[in-house]
Amino acid sequence: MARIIRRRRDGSYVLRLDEDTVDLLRTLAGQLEPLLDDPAADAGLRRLFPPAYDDDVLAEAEWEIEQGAALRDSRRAALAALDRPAAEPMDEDGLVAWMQGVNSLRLVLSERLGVESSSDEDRDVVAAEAILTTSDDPEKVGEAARRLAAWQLYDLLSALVYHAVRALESGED
Amino acid sequence: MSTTEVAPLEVLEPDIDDDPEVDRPWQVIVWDDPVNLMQYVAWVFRKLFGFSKAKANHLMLQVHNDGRAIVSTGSRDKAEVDVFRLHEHGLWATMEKQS
Repeated sequence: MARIIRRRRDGSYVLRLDEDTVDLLRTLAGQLEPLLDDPAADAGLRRLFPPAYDDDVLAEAEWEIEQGAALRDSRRAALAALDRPAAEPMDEDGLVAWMQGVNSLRLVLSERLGVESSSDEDRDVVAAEAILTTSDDPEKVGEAARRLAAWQLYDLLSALVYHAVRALESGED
Repeated sequence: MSTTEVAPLEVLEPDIDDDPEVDRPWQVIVWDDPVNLMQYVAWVFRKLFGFSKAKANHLMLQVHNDGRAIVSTGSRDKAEVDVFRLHEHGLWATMEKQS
């Protein structure tokens, strides 16, 4: 598999992505950013703000008060890292922030898709493709097409995170 | 100068040595989730805790196979820092007192 994030000799990293992909990431980040104002209002953001205390309601409330704003700021910084031209080199911290931004999009999309196990994608894709080939119901066909497109986006985001990890690992050696 | 004798006050000090609630350290637990990539989780463990590749992979597989793994222990403050950084990286981490 070609390396789509390259580590240069000077230690910087460059994205080998076309501008359409970069624009897509920028658009998705722009859609997610305003939702961070009130994460509790959207259940799809739960993976971005997991609980710190499983069995202590008071400690969890205190945690949210003390750390919630800081975590929102961190998420915003990661999403802001996606607003960049592909050819502009990044240092390691920049790539880590970029990867966190991509992973944030992925975590939210996983909630929109209802991912509960690693086999959900295969099952859902097969079901959607079957609808596309057999159904005459425009509503069902439209929904199946939307789900397939969402899974393709999920796969793209997964590949970007995978390649970011590989690039960062290449800097460790 | 008063010559009245004053009885010494008896101060009751808590016997913290016998209180298991005080002594037990906190532990940070990372839970399995079907979303984060295995390579990514192992990388996060290395980056945040300085683990070797072997230890990070072992813990990642423990999360994957057993559903959870303890990745750090220590004071409550340290656990909160670790949990926050794990959350920043999108991992599902909680903290609790060691049993």
